[in-house]
Amino acid sequence: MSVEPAAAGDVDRLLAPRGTRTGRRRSAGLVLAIGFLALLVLVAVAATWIAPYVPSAQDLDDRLSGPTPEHLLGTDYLGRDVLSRLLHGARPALIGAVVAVVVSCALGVPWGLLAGYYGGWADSALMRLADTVLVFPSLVFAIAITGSIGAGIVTSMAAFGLAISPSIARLVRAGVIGELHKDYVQITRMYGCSAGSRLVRHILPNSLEPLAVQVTIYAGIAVLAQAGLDFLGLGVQIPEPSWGADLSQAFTYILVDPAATLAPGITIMLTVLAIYRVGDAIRDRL
Amino acid sequence: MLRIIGRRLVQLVPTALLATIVTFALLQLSPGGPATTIAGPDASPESIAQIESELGLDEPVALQYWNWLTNALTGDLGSSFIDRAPVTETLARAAPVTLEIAGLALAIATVVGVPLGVVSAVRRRSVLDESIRNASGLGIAVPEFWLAMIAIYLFALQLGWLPSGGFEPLSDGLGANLESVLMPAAVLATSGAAILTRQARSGMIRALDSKYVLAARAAGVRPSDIYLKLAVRNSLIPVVTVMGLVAGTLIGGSVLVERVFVLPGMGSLLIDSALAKDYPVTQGVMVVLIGLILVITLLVDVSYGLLDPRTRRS
Repeated sequence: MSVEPAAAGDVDRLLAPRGTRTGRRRSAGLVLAIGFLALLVLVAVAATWIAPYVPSAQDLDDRLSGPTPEHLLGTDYLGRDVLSRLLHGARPALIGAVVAVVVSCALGVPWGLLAGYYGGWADSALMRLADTVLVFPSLVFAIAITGSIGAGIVTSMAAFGLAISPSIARLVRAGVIGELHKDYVQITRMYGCSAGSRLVRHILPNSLEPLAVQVTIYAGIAVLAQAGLDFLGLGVQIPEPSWGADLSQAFTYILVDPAATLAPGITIMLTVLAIYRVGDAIRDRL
Repeated sequence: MLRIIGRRLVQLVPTALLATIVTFALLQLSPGGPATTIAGPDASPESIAQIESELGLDEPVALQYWNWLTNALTGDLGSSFIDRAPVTETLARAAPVTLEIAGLALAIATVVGVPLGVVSAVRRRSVLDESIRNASGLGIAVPEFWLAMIAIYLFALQLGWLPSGGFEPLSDGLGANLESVLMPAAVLATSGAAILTRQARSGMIRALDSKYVLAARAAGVRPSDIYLKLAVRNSLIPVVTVMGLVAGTLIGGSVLVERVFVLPGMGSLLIDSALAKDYPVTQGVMVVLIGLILVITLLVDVSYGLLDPRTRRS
C-alpha cells in the first residue's frame, strides 16, 4: 500500500520556506507531532505508574459513568477506568507497529537487495513472488495467517509485516539498481571487496533514503491495521487493554456512553496523523 | 488494443496460480490443523484422525492442492468443514453484498475525491486548498471501523435516518437496499476518497505546470477549457495508477466495515471462517478477492491505453 509521493508538494514547499506563515505553521505541526509521539512512547513505558487506576480493576457499582472528576473519560461496562485502559493501550499499539516494521524490513530489505544486485532469473523469480504477495490486500493476508496460526499481537502484526514486505523489497531493489553502476561501486570491485560487503556496506546505505519515508508511512498504516485486527479479536485479546479491542466493547454501549467510543478512536487517529507528519518531514529533508 | 489485453490476461495466469498456492500454504501453517479445532479441546487422537481422513486432510499437501485446484477449475470450491455447505453457494450469497458496498464506495470515492483534488490544484495555496488537503490527511488517518461506529451513532441511533446495520437484498426493493448499503459504502469510501484527492491534486498541478498548458494560455484558450479539456484528462493518469491500490484498500477495509454494520458479506465470511479454521471457505473467499483484484489490475492497465495513446505503442 504505497502512495506515490506527490511531486506537487515539492513546489509548495519551495514556495513556503521557513519564516513565512505557512512555513511556520508547518514546523509547529511537526513539533506537535513529535511531541505527541514522544508522549506516547513515555506513556507506553510508564503506563503502570501514570495511569490513575489498574486497567483491569472493575467497579461494578460504577459502570458506564461517562466523564466524571474521578474518571476523566468515564468507566466502561465493567466499571473499568477508560483513561487508564487508553494509556495502557499505547503499549500494544507501539509494539505492534514496531513488530510490523521490523518484520517487513527484515524480509523486504534482503529480498530487494538480492533481486536488484543479482538481476537475471533470480530477480525475475523474486519479483514475481513479490507481485503475487502484493495481490493480497494486506489486512486480508494478515487475517488469513492469524486465523491459521492463532490470534495475538505479535502473530497478527508479523503477518501484516510479511504482507507489506514485498513493497519494501521493490523499493530497495529500485534503489540498488540505481546505485549499481555508479563509480564508487566499480571502485569497490577494483579493491576486491566481496559481493556481500559491497552490498551491505556500500550499496545498501546509499539506497536506504526512500525507504525511510516509506517505512514511516507503513508504521502509520500498521497502527491502523492493528487497531482493526484487535477490533476483530485477532490481535490483543480481551481483557488486555488495547485501543481496537476496547472500541469493540465500547461500541456495544455507545448509546449510554459515547465518550468511551470517542476516546480510543481519536487517539488512534492522532497517532497515525503524527506518524504521517513525521514521514512528510523526513521526505522534505531528503 | 486487444493484443495488449490478451497479453495481460496471459501474464495474470501464473500470478493467479501462485496466489492460490500461497493461500493454500498459508492455511497449512496451523498448528494441529483444523481437525484439532473441529474435534474440540477434549478429543482423543483417534477421533481427530477420523475427522482428518473424512476431510481428506491425511493426504499429502501437494495432492490436496491438486485436488482442490482441479475441482476449482470446474467451479467446485469444496464444502465447508463445519456445516458441509458447498463453498460456491455460500460465496454466491456473500459476494453480492461486498461487491455492492465496495463498488458503491469506489464510485463515491471517485465522485468526491477527483473533483476535490482538481479544485484544490486550480485554487492552489488558497484557504480552500489548505482545507481540502487537511481533510484528505484526516481521511487517510481515520480508522474506518471507528468512523462506522460514529456514523451509526449519529445517523441511525440519534437521527434515525438510516438503519444501524444489516443488509436488505435488491429483491426487497431498491429503496430498502440502498438504505442498507449507503452508510457502509460512504464510510468505506473515506480513505479511497482521500487517496484520490491527493493523487488528482498532484496530477492536476503537474498538468497545469506543463508546457502545453503554458502554450494554450499563450494562445488565449479560455481558462475553463484549459482546466476541463486539457489538464483534467492528463491529470487522470496518475489517478488511474492508484485505482488498484484504492480497490485493495476498499476490499481490506470492507472486512472491518462489514463487521461493524453486521453485513453478511465476504469480509464477515473471511473472519468467521478464519477463526473457525474452516479452510475451504477461507480459501474460497481469498480466491474470489484475489480474482477481483487481478481483474481491477487488468482494467487499470487497459485504461492507461485509453487515456494516454503513447502507452499503446509499447
